[in-house]
Amino acid sequence: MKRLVGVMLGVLTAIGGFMDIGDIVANSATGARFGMSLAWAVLLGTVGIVVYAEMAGRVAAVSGRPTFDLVRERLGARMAIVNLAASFFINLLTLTAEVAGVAIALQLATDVNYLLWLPLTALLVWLVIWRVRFTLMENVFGLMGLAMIVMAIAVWQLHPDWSQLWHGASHPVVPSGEGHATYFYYAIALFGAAMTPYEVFFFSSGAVEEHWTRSDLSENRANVFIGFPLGAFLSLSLMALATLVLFPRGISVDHLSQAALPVSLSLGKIGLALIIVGFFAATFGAALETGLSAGYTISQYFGWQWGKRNRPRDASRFHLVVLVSIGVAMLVALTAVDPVKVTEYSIVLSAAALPLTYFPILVVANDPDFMGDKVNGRFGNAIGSIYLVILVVVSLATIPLMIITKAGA
Amino acid sequence: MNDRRELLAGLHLLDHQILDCDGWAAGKVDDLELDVAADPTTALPVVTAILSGAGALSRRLEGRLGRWVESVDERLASDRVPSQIAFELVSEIASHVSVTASRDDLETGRGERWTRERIVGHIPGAGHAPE
Repeated sequence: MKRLVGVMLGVLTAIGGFMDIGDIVANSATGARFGMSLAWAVLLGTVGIVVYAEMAGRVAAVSGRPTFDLVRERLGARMAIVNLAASFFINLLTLTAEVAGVAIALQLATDVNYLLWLPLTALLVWLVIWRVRFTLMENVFGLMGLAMIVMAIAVWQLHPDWSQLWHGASHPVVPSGEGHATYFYYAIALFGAAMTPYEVFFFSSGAVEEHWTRSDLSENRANVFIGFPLGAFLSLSLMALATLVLFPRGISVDHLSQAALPVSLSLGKIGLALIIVGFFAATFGAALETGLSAGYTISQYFGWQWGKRNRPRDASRFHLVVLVSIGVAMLVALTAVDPVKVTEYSIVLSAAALPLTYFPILVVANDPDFMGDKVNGRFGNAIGSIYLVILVVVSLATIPLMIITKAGA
Repeated sequence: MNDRRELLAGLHLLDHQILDCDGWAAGKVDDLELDVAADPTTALPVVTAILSGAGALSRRLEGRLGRWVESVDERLASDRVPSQIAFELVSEIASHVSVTASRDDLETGRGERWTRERIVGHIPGAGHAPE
């Protein structure tokens, strides 16, 4: 019974944890411009993250070793440091976007400019990492993120023409006035948002922090196979809201408030309050995850002691990296760079760097030295390999599309 | 390690995690020191020390990046560069490399000690595990 509660809690946490600023911006912006015609990109990305997060979680539970530890051992010092540099930079960009997202959620709630909220936000993110136990931290923000279920209720309350929504999603066409290049650029943004690499850095390191073993493999599967698809359902709800409310009125998403607009239109003040709570939890939770991931990746490459489970003085370099990364993210956000733009760049560059993260996971998940009898099955390998091809194609296409479309302008 | 074993050093040692006698992570095996003339009977080189830390790593990275890392490390280091762990201290070679000393007594632990003593140890709450 206690075990079942634990599994349930894990699943609920995974639902809330799936969403972050990237998913919010990408789904809302594409719904407003392309209707439901890019829903397939969300599904494609979700299957990808499910397959690879399961692998990363299984590797961590069986071998006790997180992703970046293995990246170094498998790719060697030189290849891995190039990987580290790219991953760390993109993660820092994502952290900046999340911290700004938290501050904007606070602005929506208080009408006080987000720039004023940034220092307090950064301090809070750091304090939670410094003082709050790992499991408590994960559960609180994951469960709070469930407030985003209000998005699904809002869709239903708008009494949409369901067959038209379904038709838009199942018969994708590029809307008139939009070019194919832009269409696929946004497809990559959605794909990158769903498969953001920090999710596996965090997921696999978190498994080690929580002392997962082989007996936790069923919890790993439940989190990933149930929690993530339900998280993706929330993403698609947000896309549907933008399709129903923003698309016909020609409103583009330049600010987080526009992503929240359809909910307040549908459900009034209570809806707005809940969606702000949801946005806050999603971005704050992701700020914690990316802040920790900054420390995880560097420490695991260099072999430093890492992790929240220890006293900070016993993992001092890890905590220094986390502290400095949060500080830098705050300073970048304080320059008043457009948070929506930072988010878009972070997810698109994530897409370009995806093979760097996922290729080593696939290799290690097949290595019996690490995995014993828990190596990938034939089915898992087939899907994993197909995705690797997709990841390489996406990665090669990203930068040219970014240039052709002037970053989706 | 007293018993002589033949290992593919590149495969079984390089880039592996080092754990100290208390199980703390204590860096990676960034490079190895070999004594080529030590064993005339087999003509195989013998590993005499593990090199770990930025100084050792920089030599393997080559190019501009390697030179930059090396120069930073030389400036920060008060003693010998690169830091070494004598191979006699190695007690186990598995998916990680275990040594019999504490990380605080190892030459390779100076980065962690410096950060703890100069920065992180001064922040309130550094001595308590998260609650």
